[in-house]
Amino acid sequence: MLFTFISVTYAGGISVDSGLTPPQNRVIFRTQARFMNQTITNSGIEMQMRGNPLVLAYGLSPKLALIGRIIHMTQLANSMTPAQSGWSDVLLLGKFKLWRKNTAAQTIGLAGVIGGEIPTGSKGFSSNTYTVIAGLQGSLRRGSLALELNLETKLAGLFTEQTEKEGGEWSLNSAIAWIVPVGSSGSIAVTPVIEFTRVVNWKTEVTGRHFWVSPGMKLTISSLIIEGLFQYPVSQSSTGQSFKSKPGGLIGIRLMF
Amino acid sequence: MKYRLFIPVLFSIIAAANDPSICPVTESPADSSVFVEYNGQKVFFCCAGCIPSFQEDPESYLKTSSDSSTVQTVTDKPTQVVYQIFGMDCPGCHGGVEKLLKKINGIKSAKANYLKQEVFLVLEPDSKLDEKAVREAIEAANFTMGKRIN
Repeated sequence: MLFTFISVTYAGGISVDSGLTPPQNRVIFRTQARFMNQTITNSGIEMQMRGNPLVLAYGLSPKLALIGRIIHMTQLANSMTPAQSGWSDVLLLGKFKLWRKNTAAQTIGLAGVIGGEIPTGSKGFSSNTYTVIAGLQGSLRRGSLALELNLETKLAGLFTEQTEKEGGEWSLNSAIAWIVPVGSSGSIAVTPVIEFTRVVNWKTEVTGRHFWVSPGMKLTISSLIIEGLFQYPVSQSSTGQSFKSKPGGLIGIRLMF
Repeated sequence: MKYRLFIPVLFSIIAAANDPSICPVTESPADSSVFVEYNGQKVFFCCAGCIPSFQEDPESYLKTSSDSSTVQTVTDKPTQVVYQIFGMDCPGCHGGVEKLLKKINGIKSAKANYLKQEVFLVLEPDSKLDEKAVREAIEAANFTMGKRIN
C-alpha cells in the first residue's frame, strides 16, 4: 500500500513517451534501473528503492501501438522495515496516433494514450485496485531539436467501495533534447536532454505537488539506445502524511527489432 | 589469348568498384553522393567514413570486391533506387522502415539514413520496383515518402 503511493509520485523518466507512434510490426524492449530515495515526512525515515521496469511495445498498426509494463521493485531495509522485493501491478496501454505531419524541415506528432493498471502485483507492491490512465502526447522534431510535451492523468481506486484506495494523479512532462549525430553514417547519435516534470497527486487526506528537473543523456547506436538521467526534485509540497523525494536517477537500455 | 581474358576481368573489377550500389569497404548499399576518383573512375561508398580505409589500400578493396559478392553484382547487376523519406529523427528510426521495405518482393536490401533523409534500396536482378508498395511501407513506418532521387 505504502509502495503504491510512492510509485506514482516519482518523475517519469527520459523520453518515456512520445507523440510519435512506432512503425508497424516494430518490437521495442526497454528496461531500466531506477534509483528512488524518499523520506517519510512525519517520521523522517529514509526509504531507498530500486525499480527495474520491463517494457514491451509493439506496433500493431501505424496508428496503434500496444504497450505492457511490469516493474520489479526492491525496497532496501530501513529503520522501520526489512528489505523486501516484488512485482508491481501490470500496466497495459494503447497508444494511438491522432495526427502526424512529416516534412523535410520538421516532424510534428500527436498521440493519445489510454489504458490502466491491473492489480496483479506482489503483496505489498500492488495497489489492490484498478487504475485508469489517459494521456495526450505531443512531439516536435526540427533539425536536431526535439521537444516533447506529455499530459497524463491517473485515477486509482476504481471498481471498489474501499475509499482508502481512491486516489489520482496528473502529470505534465516536457523535454528538450538535442540530437547530435556522431560521424556521417547516421547510425550513431548522442542526445543530451533535459526534462521538466510537474506532478500533482492525491489520496485520502493526502495531497502532493512535485516538480523535478532532470538532465540526462541518450546514446543511440542503430537499434540500441543507452540512456541515463539524473532526477532532481526542485520543489515539493504536501498535506497530510506523505513522502519527500530526494535526488534519484535512472540508467537504461532500449532495443528495437 | 591471355589478354582477351584479362581485359574483361579488369573491366569487371573496375565496374564492380564503380557500381554505385555497393560500397567496396562494407559491401553495403552505397550512397551515390559519396565517392572518390581512383584511376580515373568514380568509386562509391556507403558513407564518408569508408573513404580513408579505401585510400589506405585501394587495391586490396578492389581485389576483395572482385573476389566476393561484388563480382556477382557485375554479372547480375542490381539497381539502386534512392527515395527521400521524411519523419526520421534518429538512428533508431532506420530499423523500423528497413524491416518493412525488405519485405517487398524484389528488394534485396534497404538502408535508411535519417541525416540525409534518404532510403537506399538495392533491387534483386531483373526485378521491377513496386513504388506503391514502397510508399505503403514507408507510411506503415509512420514516415512520408518524398521524391525519387535516382
